[in-house]
Amino acid sequence: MAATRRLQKELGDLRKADLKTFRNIIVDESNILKWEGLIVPDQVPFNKGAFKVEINFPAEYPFKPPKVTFKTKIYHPNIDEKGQVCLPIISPEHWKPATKTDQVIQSLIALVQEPEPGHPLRPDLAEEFTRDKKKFFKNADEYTKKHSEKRPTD
Amino acid sequence: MTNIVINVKYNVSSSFTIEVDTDWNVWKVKRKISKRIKLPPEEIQLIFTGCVLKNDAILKDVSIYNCTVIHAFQQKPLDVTAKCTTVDSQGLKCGKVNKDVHHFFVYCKEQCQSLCPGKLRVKCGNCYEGHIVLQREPENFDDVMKSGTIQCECKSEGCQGNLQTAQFYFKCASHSSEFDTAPVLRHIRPNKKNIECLTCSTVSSPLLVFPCDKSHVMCIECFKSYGIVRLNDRMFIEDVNHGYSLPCPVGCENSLLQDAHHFYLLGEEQYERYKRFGTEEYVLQNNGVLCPFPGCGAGILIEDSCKQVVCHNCRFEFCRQCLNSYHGSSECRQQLLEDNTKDYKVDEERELRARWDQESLATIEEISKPCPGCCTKTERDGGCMHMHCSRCQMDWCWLCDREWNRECQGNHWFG
Repeated sequence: MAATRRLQKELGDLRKADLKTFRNIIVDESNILKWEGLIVPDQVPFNKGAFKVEINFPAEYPFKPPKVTFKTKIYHPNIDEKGQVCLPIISPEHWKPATKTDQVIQSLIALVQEPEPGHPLRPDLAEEFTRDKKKFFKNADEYTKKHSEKRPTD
Repeated sequence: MTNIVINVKYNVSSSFTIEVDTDWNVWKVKRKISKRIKLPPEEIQLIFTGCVLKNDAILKDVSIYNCTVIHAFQQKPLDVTAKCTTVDSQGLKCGKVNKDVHHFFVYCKEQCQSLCPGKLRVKCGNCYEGHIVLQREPENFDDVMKSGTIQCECKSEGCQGNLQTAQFYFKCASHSSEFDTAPVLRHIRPNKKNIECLTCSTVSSPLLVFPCDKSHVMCIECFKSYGIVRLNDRMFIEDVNHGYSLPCPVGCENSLLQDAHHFYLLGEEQYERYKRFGTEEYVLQNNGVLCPFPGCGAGILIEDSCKQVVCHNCRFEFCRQCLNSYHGSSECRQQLLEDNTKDYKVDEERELRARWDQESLATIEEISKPCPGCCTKTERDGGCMHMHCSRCQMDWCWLCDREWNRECQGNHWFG
């Protein structure tokens, strides 16, 4: 199966790369199609916390894109209350089988740190972000402290 | 030292086998043949794959193995004019199955029913005999695939040394047979440089090389999955030159596979689907319609002005526009099984409940919308309002029932 072989290799490479911003990758040995990891942003206003994400790969991977969901609540214009995120790199029309999960994660971290108010999933937050960045940062910071996961200490 | 048996065809009409050794040179073979056909060895010429064999050539070096067929004919030594005398062109190898020497791969539809190493063979395009000497050696696939590119001098009695078109063909190298031919898969190549598969990163051989500028490669297993996934989504591309095909998954320009035979690799069942979908796509792209009657789906090519269509296969009469049963000149509307036996009065509601397919029809009506381009019933199971029809390729808006536009994007992209 193309998916298993490819994911095993990608998982190995990712673990070796030991990224500072994406850690604690957990994969159930009986199901390599479901990954969990911790996004650890290093820029304001999300740098006080960490965010659990789930990556679900379809059986047809890599010919169909994975789906990314946030398991931790986050105050972000591009991530809705259910944790759904709109990431162009994994949308069916942009997906390329040669795209690696590593690139998906990098693009996800970039989106978290630099919200795109032009394509919001939460228009209210997008408006706040564009009109009053200071207020948005303050709210996001408080929300992060209250709801996010603990950051790894090392 | 390996003893083998080769077939010698002499003067079209006669053929016999002789026992030789792969370490022998051609001269020694000629001496053995001379006793059989009663000609001095210097008057015998031997031809293999369209080339005259030199006396000092060693059999195993020119890829003559067990069961190989060679052609003998009489020629005074002074008459030898053929320019092409050796068999050394890349890929003109054959015989024993040895993965390293095989540059050609075929889909063997006979005994093996799988991807197999292939061997290239050539015959006269006029008399179909192998007693020929090529004017030049083939240099690429176009030379062998396009008929008439290379000429040959045919030695058979019927052609009497005249110039004829050389006809190239491929055979499966995994089983020996004199008659079976097999379609060559020109995009399948041996992986000599150990290149990783684009999608699963493993190294295997042979693999499929897309005809794009960067020559991206994919292993055979991944190609099968790629084909099946794209087939399930009907995402093959119908192209005027290459037919119903797949491009390089990276999205490279001009990367469509140029020969439908590659889709044999998906397996028999999938190949049948491939053929059906390809035909349907062709019909739709040429302004035809597919019969909407359940289980029929026959392709019908008709004039644009014709609104009333009668299926040639199941005789179902339907409206070309709304694909419901034909409703005369009255406007198209969403009709559910129009009943035309009106003289027998039944309570309307009871009649509705008693229809066999009513439930599923009602469900389909409830959860789907027709594509504004081709009326295909479409279900939206999440995501945004931007719909893309996999049948007619139209981009449309789920809310407005018309072509997707900037306003839809601004007002109700999702929600």
